[in-house]
Amino acid sequence: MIYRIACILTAALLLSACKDDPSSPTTFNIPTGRGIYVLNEGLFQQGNSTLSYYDIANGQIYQDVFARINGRNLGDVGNAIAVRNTLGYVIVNNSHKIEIIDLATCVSQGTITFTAGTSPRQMAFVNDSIALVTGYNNGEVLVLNVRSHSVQQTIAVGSGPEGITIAGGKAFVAISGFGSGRGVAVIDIASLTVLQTVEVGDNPYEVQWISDDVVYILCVGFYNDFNDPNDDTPAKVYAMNTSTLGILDSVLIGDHAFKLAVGTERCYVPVLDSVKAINTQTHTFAETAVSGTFFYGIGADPVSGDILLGDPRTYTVPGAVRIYSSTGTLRSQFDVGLIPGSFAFKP
Amino acid sequence: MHRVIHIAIQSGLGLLLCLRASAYPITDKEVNGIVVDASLGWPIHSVSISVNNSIATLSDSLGQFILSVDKYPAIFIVGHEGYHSFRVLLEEHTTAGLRIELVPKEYHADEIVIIATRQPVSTIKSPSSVTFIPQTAIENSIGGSVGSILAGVPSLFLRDYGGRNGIQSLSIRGTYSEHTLVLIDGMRYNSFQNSQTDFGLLSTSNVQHIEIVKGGHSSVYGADAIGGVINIVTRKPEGKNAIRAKASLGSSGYQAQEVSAGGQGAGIGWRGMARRERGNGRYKFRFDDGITSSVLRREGADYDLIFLNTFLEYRFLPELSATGGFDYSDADRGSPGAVTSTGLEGRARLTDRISRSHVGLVWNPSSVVDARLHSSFIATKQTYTDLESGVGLFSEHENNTLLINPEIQYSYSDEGSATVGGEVSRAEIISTDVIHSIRRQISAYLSLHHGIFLNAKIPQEIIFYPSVRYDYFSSLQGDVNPKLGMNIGLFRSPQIRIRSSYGKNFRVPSFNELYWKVGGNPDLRAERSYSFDFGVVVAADIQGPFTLDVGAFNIKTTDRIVWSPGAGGIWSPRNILSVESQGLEAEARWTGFDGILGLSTNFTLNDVRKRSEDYPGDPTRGKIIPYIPEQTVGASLTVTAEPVTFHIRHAWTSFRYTTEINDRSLPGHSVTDAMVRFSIPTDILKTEVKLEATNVFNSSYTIIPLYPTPLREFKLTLGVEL
Repeated sequence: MIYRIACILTAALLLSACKDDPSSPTTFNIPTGRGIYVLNEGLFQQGNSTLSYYDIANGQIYQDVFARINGRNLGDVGNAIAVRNTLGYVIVNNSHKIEIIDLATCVSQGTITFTAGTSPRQMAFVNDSIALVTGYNNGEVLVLNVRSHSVQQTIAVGSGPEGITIAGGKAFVAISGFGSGRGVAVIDIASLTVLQTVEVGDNPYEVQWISDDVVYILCVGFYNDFNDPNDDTPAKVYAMNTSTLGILDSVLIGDHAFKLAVGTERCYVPVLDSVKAINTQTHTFAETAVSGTFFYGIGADPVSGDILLGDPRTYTVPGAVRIYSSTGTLRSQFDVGLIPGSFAFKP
Repeated sequence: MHRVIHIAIQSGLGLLLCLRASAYPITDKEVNGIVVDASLGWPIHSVSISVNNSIATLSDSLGQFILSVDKYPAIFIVGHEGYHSFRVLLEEHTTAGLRIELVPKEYHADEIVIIATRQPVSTIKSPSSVTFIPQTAIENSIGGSVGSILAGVPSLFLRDYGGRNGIQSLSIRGTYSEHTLVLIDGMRYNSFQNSQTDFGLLSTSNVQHIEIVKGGHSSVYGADAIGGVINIVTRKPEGKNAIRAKASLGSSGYQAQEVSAGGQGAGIGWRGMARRERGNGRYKFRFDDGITSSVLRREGADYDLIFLNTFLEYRFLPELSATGGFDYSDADRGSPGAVTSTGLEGRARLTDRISRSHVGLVWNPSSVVDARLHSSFIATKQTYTDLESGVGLFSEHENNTLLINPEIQYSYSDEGSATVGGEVSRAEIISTDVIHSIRRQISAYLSLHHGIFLNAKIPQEIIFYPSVRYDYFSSLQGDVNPKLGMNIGLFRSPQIRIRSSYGKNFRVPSFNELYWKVGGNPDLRAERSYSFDFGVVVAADIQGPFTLDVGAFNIKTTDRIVWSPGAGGIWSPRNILSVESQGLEAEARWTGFDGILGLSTNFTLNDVRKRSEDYPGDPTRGKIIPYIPEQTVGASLTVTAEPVTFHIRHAWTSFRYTTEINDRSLPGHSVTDAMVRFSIPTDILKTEVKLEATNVFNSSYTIIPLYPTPLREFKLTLGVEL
């Protein structure tokens, strides 16, 4: 009788068809030819950041290429992707690391792991060996040897450093102050010391190279009381002279725009349901480049001049990338991963 | 006519004693009644009825008896070789007739629960799938929270963020945690702020038993009862004076102390308990991101939990009694967040202070009417502080909820009874993030139970359970939710019964969804749901009680509330999601060798899919909803050979998708826990030693991505009772 009972109970267990885990990487190679890497941020603390690859010639999109090729996930919150020569440097913010890939193959060329809590945001290259990385939580710029994968030095710049660029022998770092900052820290590249912190607008977030003489600084604006939209200050773009460190001009953007992409003689800012273009010669609005839905990520193709826009949709479903001509004509669109935020181009 | 009452059953399983008006003239010393089969209602002859240890009489061919009782209180012992015997205490003489229902030995001694219909119903006669977790299972439980017990119930999936400090939420039948209504002693406990309950803050120490009914039950319990209802029944005075003390030590710096005392006499019963649990939470877990693979220790996950419970009951008159009590918990927990790298983790902290005051009156004015009035006042204060993350976060939420629940049960015949009741509530939120709001609720419900006994071999009995409820919330229009359930008795030996129900259900939008300062949407509608349940129960005696419960379910929910970005990227909740959950459940239990050996196993197959589009061509339509396992399997073995009890349980959970597009998943995992308990009673002292081991085989897994759960841990508890 005990045997019968045991049989019944065991049968109940065996009846459960134990389905295999469906996530297993498949063999895949990046196609030759020109293409676009789309860095999908993924959801905070869910470790689902991915890289998508778009083959421009064939109009084909390939999803999650980093995991498929390297057999492991990218990490938590892919914040930015920087390119130097043939390599792409994927800054994975909340995994506190940079994944280095060969742009031609997406094969991992190594991982630079930072001290936990560093929270790397963006990077700019001094030369082929040295890069500067903003460490959001520590208020530092890390001097990174990308060959040895070691941090050689840290430079205290102020709380919440975000965007960084190098122009005219100086590095310009947006000091967000976690939403309450107003300055741009200027670092002398030769001595790797802070020359001064220049006050610009409210909540500096992005810094972009326009020329060796000019950098653009996107200030998101203050939120003040997060629960009161009436006490906010609007986003602005400031043009700074890299020699005198004086403000050449400013452009009122509105709302809380937080992305800035540089194209040919223009830069683009997504704000609310449109993308505004700024003439980088006159520092004035050119026109509204694209009208449509809310965009999260933005990039500009240096070859075609096209504008790449990342639509996060609901943030929990696959996002979409839409490619527009510089005059606002939709050229193509395709689905990518969760929250497309940054782009890099494979030659 | 008769009424079902709760009387002082001293021993015996699953038996009811009912009183009805006497049909015979009796003297002031005589007591009369009838003995019937609990399942079929047939009278039983030759039943031995003894009073105060002396054989008094046997029931006649009609199951009736009359006997003389000289002294009260009187202990009745009712026995028959074909039925389970029981003992019951009658405190004073009654001229009303006794109705004694004996449970045949062929049947599994099922439990009587009230959760399914708000009336006492045996688990196998319920119209819905019901699970009863008795006191013994709680004593044998592994892990310190109510959540750890519920995790073993089929179709219940515990979302565990890891460690004793972690938040534990629970979903039933593929719904989310806000679709599970939690009651404490029959009164709503879910927060109106987020419609959820943190099971990590509910200690098992004050739990008498737990009743779970699966499927929608808004027709009985109102808002949020879409996936199911969990009723946690707290411990009450036990009829004797006792003082207990417990102390525990365990892995990750775990330590706990507990003192409780209770007694009963002169119409007064009382109980009190104080418990404290602390730990550094530095548990071991395995970290592997594809680059680094190592065993780390969780940091910033310390906790300090304090629980206080008091309960008092007083019987003013034989037909009138009052209860009251106060529960308080104070939890200070580290909230380190996800593990995304091998280094330092977060330093955020979460504090919860919850007080619950309750009073109640129970009045039995006649043999067919039970009236009760219960009220509770729950005050919660939660703070979240993360000042070291750079941005600096602080939020504070206070919720005050007053709930009043009058109810009357009326037995209109031997075949049926009705429960009529209402709920009135006032809920207020004061928060840094939510607009100060007050919500008022007025509800009324009717639940019927009517059985029809048939003169046929198959079926023998049909019981109908119609119910309907109206709910009005000041933030929502009135809503009516009906339900029809039935239970059909097919065979007697083995007992085979069919249950089925279909009903409409809803979830009221939470304060967060309606009134969050940035993005809250006061125009939200209630979520709608239709729930279908069908099952077959087999109960037999196979050298001990054996039950097999196999069922299927379907829950369709529309207008589900989802936060999504709108203009300018501001997130706001909208009624846009439709989800269908369907599945199979099977559970088998057997106890043999006079209770020495207990075996159980269960299996759940659940398919939960999104049925709506967030935008035209949404590829996530038809995909499986993330974080819900498609299959779970559980098994347990309990050996009780006094003074030793050994319990081991194993649970396997299939993979869970973590994205709506179903391109990522967490792997399936298996976890085994074990417990051995020594209970040594003497004349003046009862000593208990309990050793628990969780995750015996060091399984490395996560329930939520990047929230690691502990590797193998131990806990040792020493308890004494005077």
